[in-house]
Amino acid sequence: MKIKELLLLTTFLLLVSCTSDNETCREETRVVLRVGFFSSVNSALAIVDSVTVVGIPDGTIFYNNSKSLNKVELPLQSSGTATEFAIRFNEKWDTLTVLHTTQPYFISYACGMIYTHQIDTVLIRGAVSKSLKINAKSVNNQNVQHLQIYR
Amino acid sequence: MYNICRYIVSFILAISITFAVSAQEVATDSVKIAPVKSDSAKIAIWQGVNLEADLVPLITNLLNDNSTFRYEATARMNLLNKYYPVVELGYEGQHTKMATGTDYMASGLFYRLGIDFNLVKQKSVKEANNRFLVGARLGFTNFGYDILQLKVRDEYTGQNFLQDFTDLRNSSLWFEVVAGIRIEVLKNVLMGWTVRMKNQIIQPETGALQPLTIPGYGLSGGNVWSFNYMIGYQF
Repeated sequence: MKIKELLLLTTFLLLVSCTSDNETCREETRVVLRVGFFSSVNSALAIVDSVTVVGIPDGTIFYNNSKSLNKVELPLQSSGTATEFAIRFNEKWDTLTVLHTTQPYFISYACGMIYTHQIDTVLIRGAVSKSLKINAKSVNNQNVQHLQIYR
Repeated sequence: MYNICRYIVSFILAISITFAVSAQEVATDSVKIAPVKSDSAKIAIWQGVNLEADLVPLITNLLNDNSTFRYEATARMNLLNKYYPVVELGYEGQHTKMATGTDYMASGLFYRLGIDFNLVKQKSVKEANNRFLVGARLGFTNFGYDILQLKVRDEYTGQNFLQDFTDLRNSSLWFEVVAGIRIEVLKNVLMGWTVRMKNQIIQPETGALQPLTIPGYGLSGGNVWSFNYMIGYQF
């Protein structure tokens, strides 16, 4: 093949190999603590008739008398090392305290940056919950259940 | 816009070079050429040096804003008309305004070291400076970059806010496989192109605030193709 022909062939190959930047976010950016409700009797998922969750001390309402739930998704504070919630199961209140560390996590230029968390300790106090289990300590944009509350 | 302009300019230059080659071939066909001695062992090892500059940025720099530019030059040593150790040096500034509102700006020097091999069998003295080159490069840059108005998600408040990250620095090391041609369009004046397939040797750490583009490399995070149109002088 002559150089001239080679030049023409490769020039057109170059032109069809152009790429473009992608600026659409296709990653999950939501980072929440996923908490499931279980029965302390048979360890099965248990539906709660009415659930209210309020952030402490700011009073942010995350769930307001929500009906028939067997799980909740709660955000953790990006500043500080503890996030506390008041959870009302039907008529009685418990307090859920999550001690954690927080790290910034860059996803992409299209999606931006999120905060991920590493759970250190979880405490629950009150009249309803009997115990809890930590399933996963890393709270990020993956869809996994982190806590199980037995009541 | 930058890429589109670059490809258009590249296409025009490629066609121009093609016509230059064509014209030269017609001219040389009518001249009886003395054959070159086939015994390459008698050729001096040092056959000179070729200094080149990339033509494309001369036009694309004018089409972009002041913060997007590139200058690139090459020194190619000629050993036995077959082996060409190469040193490349460039300076690139990149400014990308994304649809999300994020501004990305990077600038820095980049360096490449490597070697080319000439695959054209030399048939005559006239064709001694016509080359089909393939080779490899090792590229390196240490550069600064700023990210303005990056979206940050605060899940607790349920809101996004914008944050600036400035005076960031990063280094990058990459490997290139290159191919190209050089045609002597005037006495000792060579023109041609080089196509490059680049691959980052060290990938950015997951979750770290990585650069969008890297001077001398291009878009960070994967294989990158690029090409240059060079003009040079054979010393």
